Amino acid sequence: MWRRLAAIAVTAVLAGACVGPSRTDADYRNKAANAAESMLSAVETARLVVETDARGSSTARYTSLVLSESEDAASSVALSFEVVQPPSRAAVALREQVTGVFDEVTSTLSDLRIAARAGRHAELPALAEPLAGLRRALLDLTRLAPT
Amino acid sequence: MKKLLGIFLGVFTAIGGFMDIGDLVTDALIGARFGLSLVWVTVVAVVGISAYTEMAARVATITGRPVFDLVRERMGPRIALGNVIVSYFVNAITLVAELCGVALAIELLTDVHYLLWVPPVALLAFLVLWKLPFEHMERMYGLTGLTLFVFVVAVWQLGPDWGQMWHDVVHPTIPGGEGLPTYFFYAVVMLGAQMTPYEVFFFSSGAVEHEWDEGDLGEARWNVFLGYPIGGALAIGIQATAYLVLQPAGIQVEHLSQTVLPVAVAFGKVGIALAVLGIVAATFGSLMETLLSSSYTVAQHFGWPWGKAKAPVEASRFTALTIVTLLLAVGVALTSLNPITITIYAVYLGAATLPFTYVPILVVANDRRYLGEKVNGWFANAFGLVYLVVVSLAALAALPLLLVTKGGL
Repeated sequence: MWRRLAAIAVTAVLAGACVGPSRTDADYRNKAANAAESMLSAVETARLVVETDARGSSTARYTSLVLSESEDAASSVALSFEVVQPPSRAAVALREQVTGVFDEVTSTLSDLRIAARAGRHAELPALAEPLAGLRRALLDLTRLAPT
Repeated sequence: MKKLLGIFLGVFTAIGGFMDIGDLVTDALIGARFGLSLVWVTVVAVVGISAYTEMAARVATITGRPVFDLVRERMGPRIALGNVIVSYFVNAITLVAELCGVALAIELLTDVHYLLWVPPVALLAFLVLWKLPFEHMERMYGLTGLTLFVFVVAVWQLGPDWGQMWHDVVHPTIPGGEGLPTYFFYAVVMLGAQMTPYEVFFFSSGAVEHEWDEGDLGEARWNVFLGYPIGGALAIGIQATAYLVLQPAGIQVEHLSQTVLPVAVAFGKVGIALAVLGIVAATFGSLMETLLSSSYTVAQHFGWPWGKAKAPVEASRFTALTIVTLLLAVGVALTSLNPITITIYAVYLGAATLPFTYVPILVVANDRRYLGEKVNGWFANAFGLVYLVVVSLAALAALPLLLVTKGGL
């Protein structure tokens, strides 16, 4: 009895943790909004550490690590969203819009990570400039979720 | 004077010992996500763990035996065995989280991947365990861990609106976009992180390792009633820095490095250095405590000779179990499972099994055969029972909340 209950519980948790296909446009929009929220977190983390670094308030190793982790987080979010099957043509259009923004974010974060790892810290503020616009785009996407 | 110094050092050790990787991660994660709306859980947890640790310390100082040595005798081998299995498992998972925590903290300083630090950290733990006397070991990480107070000072440096902060603490509201089940899931996780079972096992067994007797009960009480609340204030400091810096930016805490970010904003490189030093000390201390607690519970249940103070040859099964547990933890850590996920699940499991730790303490602390006149009074029992209800409700709600929120998503 207890074994069966435990098996059901474990299966439910694992099933819940996986990214499943979206059956409706509303669900797909919800997934896009959640992914944008996670992506926004990576962008804001990178912006904050670049600002701190520019003030001379961060160590080179810490900045480099935080940027590398932000890039990993962003890549992981982008990949998880890309594998979700869009349920309709409208959802396909939304997918293109979302993945376009996500690609720009990951590309910018990669540039930042490469510069930080190479010790080119003076270049970081300029390289981070596109993040302000991407932040606004991501905020718009987070509003796709039903309120 | 020597006694006073001992009390001060003990209190400082308890403050540093209060923090572990579970606290560091959940405090920052919750501060960034829920602001100060779960500070009340820290207050509840600190009062609860102080009350129960005092009972465990009283049992240990009066009987000269740790609580879980008496559980088998008092509650029977069957119930006690179930308790030992659950406790060992939760301790071992927490040990993996602490091991990863130390390695992650060193990664912050070196930018060398944390997995490469796992074996050297385990080796260092092994050496400290064998070479350093118990008291020195405790004080080394307890006192160094006090550098974590940089988080509390950072709250002032960040210049908050104190009125708004106080309002958010006393009028907790659920932030937009978060559901009630998610709020309570993280309340349970925070309770698990701050009423960690291993802290009670370690304090109780540590009292025996220190060879404390009834005359030392006062010192033990100072350690608990002063050290834990100040440790709680430190936890609230971490939540507050995340609330002030990470929440307005929409940052979700997924890495230990993000916990340090508010301190970097407030104090720059010095802040990063102090915070990382404190994290290394606090997680290394918890690594030693969870490692020893895992072996303490099993050895005490089966009546094996035990203790860090004993030579390995005098406590061979205890020593062997400690080495095997450490090697298993290294093996699990090296599987590259996400260390933050391990941490969240470790504190979740801690919450789900809290009654297994606290019921036996309450039972033994009420037994006159062991404590004579020093059994719980009505006040301690009333507190104990209220907290038993709290931790039982948290344990019962843990699995449904995990399922409904898909692990706090």
